[in-house]
Amino acid sequence: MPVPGERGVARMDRSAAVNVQELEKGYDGIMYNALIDEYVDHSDFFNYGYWDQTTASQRQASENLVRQLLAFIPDRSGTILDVACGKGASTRYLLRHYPPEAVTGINISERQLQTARRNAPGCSFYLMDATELEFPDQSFDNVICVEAAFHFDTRERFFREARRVLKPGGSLVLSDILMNRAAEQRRTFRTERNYVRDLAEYRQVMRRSGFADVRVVDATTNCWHGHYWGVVNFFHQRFLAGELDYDGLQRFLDRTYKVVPDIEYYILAAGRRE
Amino acid sequence: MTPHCPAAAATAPDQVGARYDRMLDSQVHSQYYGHSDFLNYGYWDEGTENQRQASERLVEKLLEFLPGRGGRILDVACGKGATTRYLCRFFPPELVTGINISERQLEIARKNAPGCTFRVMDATRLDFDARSFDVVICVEAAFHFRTRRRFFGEAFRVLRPGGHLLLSDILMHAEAERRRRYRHEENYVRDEQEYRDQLAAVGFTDIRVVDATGPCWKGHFMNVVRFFHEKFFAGEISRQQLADHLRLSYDRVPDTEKYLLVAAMKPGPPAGAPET
Repeated sequence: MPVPGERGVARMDRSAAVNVQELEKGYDGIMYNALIDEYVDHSDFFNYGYWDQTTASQRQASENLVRQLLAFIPDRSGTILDVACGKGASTRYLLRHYPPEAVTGINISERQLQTARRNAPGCSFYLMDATELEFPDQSFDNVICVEAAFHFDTRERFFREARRVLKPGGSLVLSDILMNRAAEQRRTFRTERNYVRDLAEYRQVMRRSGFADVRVVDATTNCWHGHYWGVVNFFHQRFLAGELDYDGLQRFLDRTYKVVPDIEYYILAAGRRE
Repeated sequence: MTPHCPAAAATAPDQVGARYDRMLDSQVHSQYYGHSDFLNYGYWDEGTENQRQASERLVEKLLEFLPGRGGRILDVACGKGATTRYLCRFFPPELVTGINISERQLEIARKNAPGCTFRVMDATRLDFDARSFDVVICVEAAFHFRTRRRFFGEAFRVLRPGGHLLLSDILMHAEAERRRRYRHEENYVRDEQEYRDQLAAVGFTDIRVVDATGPCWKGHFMNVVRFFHEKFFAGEISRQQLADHLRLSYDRVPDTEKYLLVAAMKPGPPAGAPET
């Protein structure tokens, strides 16, 4: 099992970039809320998920999303790194295919990692920045990153790091959200440096980071649109049942409403280290 | 017949009429209702795809209470005549009468249901002879009447023995009945039993009161939410417009107690062959 070591990478000054501490606090705030917890059916997932006709809940959608990403990996054996694993719900899902000693999760919040250790016992968890991986070269057979790469400063640095820690033949699989340029500039937890116009440009970024067999799929309808309806329906039903007042309803919908004009694409992507 | 008492100025029928005129004139309202001229919650079950279908299904659910479809029918608070038009699928137009408090709505009703008779009339002061109708139907309006109980008395009077009253109605809690501009505290009814008692008190028998809050009110609410959230997602309306369009529906959530489907019969021998 890969263990992080000293790599001596010079730490970049990123004062103007995504503030990792603030990002951590922001996610901790919304990931430890009772009604959101109920929305995700106490699964500890925190992503849009992948919705199709048979999807009945956010939990199912979130599990479905990991399944869709794993489908990109031809051979689910060896070791896997779960980047930005949050509370370890995706990590727990990986245990359907991998033994715990083959699974490593990293995240920037120690609080979330504590929960992750309970959700996926036996796996290794480290507090680590996705753009400065502290693992030796060629440590993992595959790397997965569910709906987080848009926060990294930069996404491309993460791609290069992922390639470095992958064994030859190993795959990076991820889901990612592309917003319009104004949103990338304006949003606190995103950076203009990550602006990518479309799927073709995303493929270019992956290729120039050293990946081959690059596949980028538009999943905007299944993921973002599906999640939008999941949220709208769930919280309005709670409102109708008298469990939420009007202000509460608006507060829960606010995050979702705010991204509506910003999101361009939700993508599923995969690339292989040759 | 109950003696007439003057209605308070703030809730005069013509103001209710003007309010519905405004709602029925709204472009987006018309689009929501599939340009059907319906204006009610409708009845939503599996297979109901849009508000127009739900509104037709609601009339159908009420007609299902009848042992048979025939004779003279009075459509109380017929609005723009969408219900009346639907009734013409089962009743010949010359046996169908619609009444409403807005002449403007009746002008459209005459186009929607040609051949039917339409008259401006207050549901609590029916200008018809006793025993004029085999069926009286009133879709989602009785909570506006001052009072609902007087309407029950009038409906009883104009029905023939063996004739049926059919209605859908919305119960709100007492504070909402007091506060809301187009509702009246005198119309407050606690539950289905009290509703039945009021119908029984004017002489109705064979009373059926069905709680349809889920398929009618909740079904409608979630569909309104869906309709405007689709527009917002597509970028057709702003967040403020989304909130504005949903405000009426949101405001009703804490106030609404029950949506009822109701049927009752005026005792007597079953109505014979329809008289013309």
